[in-house]
Amino acid sequence: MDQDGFMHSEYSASPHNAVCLTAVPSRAPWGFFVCERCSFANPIATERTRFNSDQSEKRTSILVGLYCNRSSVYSFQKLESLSMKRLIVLAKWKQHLRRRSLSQTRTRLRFSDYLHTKHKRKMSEGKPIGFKKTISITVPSTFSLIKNPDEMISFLDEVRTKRNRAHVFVNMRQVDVLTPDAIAALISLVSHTGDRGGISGNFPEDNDIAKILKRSGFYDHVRTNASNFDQASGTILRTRSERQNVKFNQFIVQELISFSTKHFRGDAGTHPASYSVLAEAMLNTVYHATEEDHLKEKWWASVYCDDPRRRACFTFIDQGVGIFKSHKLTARLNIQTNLKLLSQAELLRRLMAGDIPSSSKIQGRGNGIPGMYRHCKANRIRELTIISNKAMGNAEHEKFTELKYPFDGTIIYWEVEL
Amino acid sequence: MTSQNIELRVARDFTVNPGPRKKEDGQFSGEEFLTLELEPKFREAYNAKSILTVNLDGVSGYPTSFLEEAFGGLARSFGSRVVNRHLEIISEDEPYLKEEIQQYIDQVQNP
Repeated sequence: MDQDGFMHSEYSASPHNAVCLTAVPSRAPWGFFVCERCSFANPIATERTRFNSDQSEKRTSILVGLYCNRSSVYSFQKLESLSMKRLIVLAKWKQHLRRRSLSQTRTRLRFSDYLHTKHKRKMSEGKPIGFKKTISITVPSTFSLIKNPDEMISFLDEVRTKRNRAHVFVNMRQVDVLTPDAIAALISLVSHTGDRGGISGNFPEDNDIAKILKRSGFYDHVRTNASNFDQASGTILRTRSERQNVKFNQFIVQELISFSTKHFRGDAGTHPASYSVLAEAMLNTVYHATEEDHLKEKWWASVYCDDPRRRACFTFIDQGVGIFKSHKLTARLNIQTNLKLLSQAELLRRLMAGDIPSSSKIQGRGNGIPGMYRHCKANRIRELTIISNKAMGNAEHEKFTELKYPFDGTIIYWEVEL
Repeated sequence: MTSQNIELRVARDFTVNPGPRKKEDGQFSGEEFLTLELEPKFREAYNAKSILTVNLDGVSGYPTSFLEEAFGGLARSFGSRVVNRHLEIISEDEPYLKEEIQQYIDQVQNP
């Protein structure tokens, strides 16, 4: 409570709360908050409660201010008619409160994690440093997401779960079928090992299969003691959006396509259909991701040049939530899905055919996946396969199946004859 | 149509690597193409009662959202009937793009 008999309770939308609070003059006739670090300029509210001498009555007023970043002039408006209830039901405030709560939860978790680690460190004093249990997981003999999706998804889930507890050794000795999409999936998994356990593995016994792995670009992303690989047949790239501070980068798209055309034709050419499919796949992750997701390494894209078949095999892996968790279906489709009258495989079929409108409901949207389907139907690309959540669909053969285990994310695979 | 046609070549006048739909999503977006190149030139052609010829050849490819934002956006500003009267698309590398763009224009209701 200040000298005028006002008690202040402050609300600020700045991420630097502590700094903002110090900027509040306690005796000011109105309150304003300016974050000294980020110059946050959103509307700010101050609640002031006045007590009478007998402490029985009180009067509340709300002051809303806007901070001008470029001069020292602040404009404020006194809004007597607005009640605090009115202000805090605004979507902006709700969003702010939600974010603040999330941030506080994270801080609490970080702190408890720190205490836990500190305790563990104390308890393990004197024990050998770096001792960690190793769990060996044997990969499916058909190491391919498009040919053996159920076993592969189960394997990827197992690695994802166990790596949090121990070091995982991926045993690939018995692999007899290996496709580039699975290599891209494996590299996306390896890159997200977390801080508790690492992943290592061995080579397939079959020399031809081992050669595919070695030449795929896999070893550009892992440490290895093997050397002298043949000329590379593939390359695996991941999003650079974080580094370049843009959400979408078409030059990565062109880089992958140039790699394949250079491999087969000798010059870095173009393939417009692949450009369109790859760009749309990346853009889907931009449009359907939340703001927080943009900060994560969300996707991997790879190309593998299959010399015997003379085909470039493109894989795009988005590690988001998958199409059916991000897509808001119409009420009718929602009911049908909930009543199990419509499977995710059927939904995928309709989505590819363009029968399901965009979840944004904005005119002209929702052309991405139908566009890929049209490219496949016109044979500009081949074997277009999409795996997302519990659905898998091959556009070329019109084969849509429901998977046993859900895949959290989306895989788009296609081939190009060059 | 009376006077000489106006030409717009995407590869020469804008970029060889078309990008996303919106400006905030990345470089060389459909929105940027619409506001900087397509709309001013289309307006010029419309005022001169001539035809704007857009040549799509010579680029790496087109994301569908780029095309929709640019040509669908043009139809949303001028109406599909006006756009159809004053716009000609040339795409020898990828002939299917003409049909695709026509769909985006026709989807827009006339104002």
